Amino acid sequence: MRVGQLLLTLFLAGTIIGSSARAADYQRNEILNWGEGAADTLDPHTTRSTTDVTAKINLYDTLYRYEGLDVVPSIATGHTVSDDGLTWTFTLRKGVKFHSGSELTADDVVYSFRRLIGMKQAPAAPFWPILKSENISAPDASTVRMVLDRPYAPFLAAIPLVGIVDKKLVEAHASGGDWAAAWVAANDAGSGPYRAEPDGFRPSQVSKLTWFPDYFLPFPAHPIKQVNITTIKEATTLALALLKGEVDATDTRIAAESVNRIRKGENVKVSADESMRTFVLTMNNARPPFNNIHFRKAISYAFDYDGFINKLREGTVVRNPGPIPQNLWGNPKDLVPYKYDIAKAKAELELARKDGVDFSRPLTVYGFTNTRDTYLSMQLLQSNLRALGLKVEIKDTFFPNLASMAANQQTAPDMWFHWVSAFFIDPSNWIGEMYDSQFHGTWKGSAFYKNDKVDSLLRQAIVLNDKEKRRALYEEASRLIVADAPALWIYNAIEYRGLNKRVEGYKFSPVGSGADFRLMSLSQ
Amino acid sequence: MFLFIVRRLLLAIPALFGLVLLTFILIHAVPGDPAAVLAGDQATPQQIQALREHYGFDRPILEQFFRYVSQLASGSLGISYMTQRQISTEIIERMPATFELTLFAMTLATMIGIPLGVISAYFHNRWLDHLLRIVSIGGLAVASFWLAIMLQFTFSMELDLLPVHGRLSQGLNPPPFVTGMIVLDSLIAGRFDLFRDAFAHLILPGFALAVAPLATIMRFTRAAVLSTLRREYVFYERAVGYPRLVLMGKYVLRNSLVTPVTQIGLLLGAILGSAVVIEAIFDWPGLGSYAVLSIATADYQATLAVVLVVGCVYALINILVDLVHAAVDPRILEQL
Repeated sequence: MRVGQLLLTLFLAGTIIGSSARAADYQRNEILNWGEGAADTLDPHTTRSTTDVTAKINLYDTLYRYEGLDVVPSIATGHTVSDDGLTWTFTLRKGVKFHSGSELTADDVVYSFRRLIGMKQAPAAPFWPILKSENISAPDASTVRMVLDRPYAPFLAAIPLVGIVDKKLVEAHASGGDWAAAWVAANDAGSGPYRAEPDGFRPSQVSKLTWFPDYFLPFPAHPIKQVNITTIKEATTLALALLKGEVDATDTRIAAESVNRIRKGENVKVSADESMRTFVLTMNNARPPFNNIHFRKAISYAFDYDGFINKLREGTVVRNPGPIPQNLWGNPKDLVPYKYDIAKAKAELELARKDGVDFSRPLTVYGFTNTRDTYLSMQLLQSNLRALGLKVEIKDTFFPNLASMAANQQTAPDMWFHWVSAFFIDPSNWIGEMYDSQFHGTWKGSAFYKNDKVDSLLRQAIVLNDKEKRRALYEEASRLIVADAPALWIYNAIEYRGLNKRVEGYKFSPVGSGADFRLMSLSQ
Repeated sequence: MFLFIVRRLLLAIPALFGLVLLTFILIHAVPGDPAAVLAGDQATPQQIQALREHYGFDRPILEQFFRYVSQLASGSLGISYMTQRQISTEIIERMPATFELTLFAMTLATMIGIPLGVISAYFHNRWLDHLLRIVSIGGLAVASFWLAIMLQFTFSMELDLLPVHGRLSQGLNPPPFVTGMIVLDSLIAGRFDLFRDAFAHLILPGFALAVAPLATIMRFTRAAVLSTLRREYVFYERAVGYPRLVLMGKYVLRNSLVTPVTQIGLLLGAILGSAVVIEAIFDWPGLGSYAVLSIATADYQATLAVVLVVGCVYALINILVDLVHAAVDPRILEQL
């Protein structure tokens, strides 16, 4: 009898609570189901993955933000830079509100930059070496001043990395200098166009956002009022979920066969946009036989770029000739890429032999576990190099392992295939951090390439604020680097996102991959 | 029996300690630097080093191990470097999903596998037996990820009968948390709409996961029933004219269950491994996908925690198997 009563009580209680837990009362054409994946963290100062960036650009504001390739003012109305390039002064827009209702002031901006630098995590990287916490100040409630240790030209390009948090709210959850890391990772302290629903976020699983009607920038006539973000890691499942209408958008990395399937589907479309995500085979230039330029050139001529791009990738990527993405300034328009030419490869190998290079040992190439592109490219490389009589062993591991191996000259692979993505749009993100020898010891510097002339050009370019002068320096450095063949630059990615046809207003940007929900609406 | 349980629980402690030690060594034997992941693509070597010092990754491995063990002893699984949350919270959030999936799959495998095994044995060497043997070998041979994708294509895309991913349809909120298993919780809450939706989501991954253990259970049951059927008392019971169903159900099956029950216990542990693949394909937010995520992001503490939790579950299942043995075969109870 007692058990029966208990069950009945549970049943009734459940019915009452359950009915209050039903989905929010928005219309179907106000709810977007986004399949790119929930963030690992909502904290704008520890952003690492594209899904984290999606959370950041929708929940938080930044002083400047990206619109396509351009950096435009957001909560700043403008900025000035001192002649020496060291003092940056930003003026803030008035009347911007946090989701908590408080007004966003210069104090919040100062706190956010200090928190970023104090936490030392991924988005802090461009700032950490040039900006000290004590050099960030607020002369008044709508002015922020930052004094850099040395001039750093990409500073403005990196500004959109820094989300502005609600200082009062964050400090209320902080203890013992922990910057409230645990609380901010799972809660919303922003002023962006969307807010995170309490209890609607589970890292890497789901996240639910609702619109913030008081946002200072306009929404479209029929705004998206709720976004359900789900995580579907398996590419085939994600494409099927889009075709079935279970999600309105895939991620931007769908494979060629899924692109074709989606293009044939009803009520779905594919948005194709050239990104700034280069695919590179980096060689360890410090280790024999890769320390010989002729040997590296032999490898550069031996890879079948066109076969890889047109057959294996079915033309879904574009050839990239050098270290900088071909659609970004700084990449020389007349740069001639290496082409598959086995005769030239053999000739270069012969020159290497004359230099006394011993290439009898098997070479190792690494790719990422469970990543189709790196497997295809490794197999093609193995087959291409066999034509030169070189033996290649294929290995794979997860990115963190490879990143850590690649950072050390002794453990770095002979060769490894990897991507270099756009965290902010400036040539230094690619050429600077990959081929300036001061970055040896990071995975990006894993070519261990050293050319004093290149070092000097790149170090001049990083401190100049004149874009045209920088362009000339990067173009010259690109030519020198390509001539030295420290790596094989294979393609620049085109990002394919499957979308339901009801999604309107989708605008791609290499930073954030177009997941700017404020700009979108759903057909009525 | 109480003493037996206590003894087995105490014996599990050194086994789990060994497991943690081994996993700790393995994790640190392969290269992988969480500081490099946290610091991101743009980091300078100095920034990575600063993070290493902050989290203590630069300390000697023995010191790191003892620090981890003392943290475990104080009842904490640690904090995820990636999400900054308590790992225990993340595991508690995800464990019910895995339990729901694996329990459903094992129930399916047992409810179908045992009767089919008995039928197969009863019709020994006749066409039905041959057919079932082909089915069971096929079930063992088929790759679960292939089967899962085929099921999605057929039942989700072509026939449009079942959902393709997740635990609930978009826009539906889960029922109030009681067990964390949505199918059960929706029943408790009296939300039959949610129950239907959650159950529909469970069918394809559950079946994909059930196929291999179903085949194993079927084969073990068949072998065990066959061997029991050859026992003299069965001849005697047949000779005196016991009804077939009573003979098979009451005397043969019960005496044949010890081996299949052991298998079911072991399979329940093994299925946690297969769940990793199935969870990934069906976007099932369970422990398996958490393990993959933690390995892929070098989140050591999270990986160790998953191994430890699965180890504990495995140890508990083994104790449970012994108890079920005793229930099935009272002679075992006397030896406990």
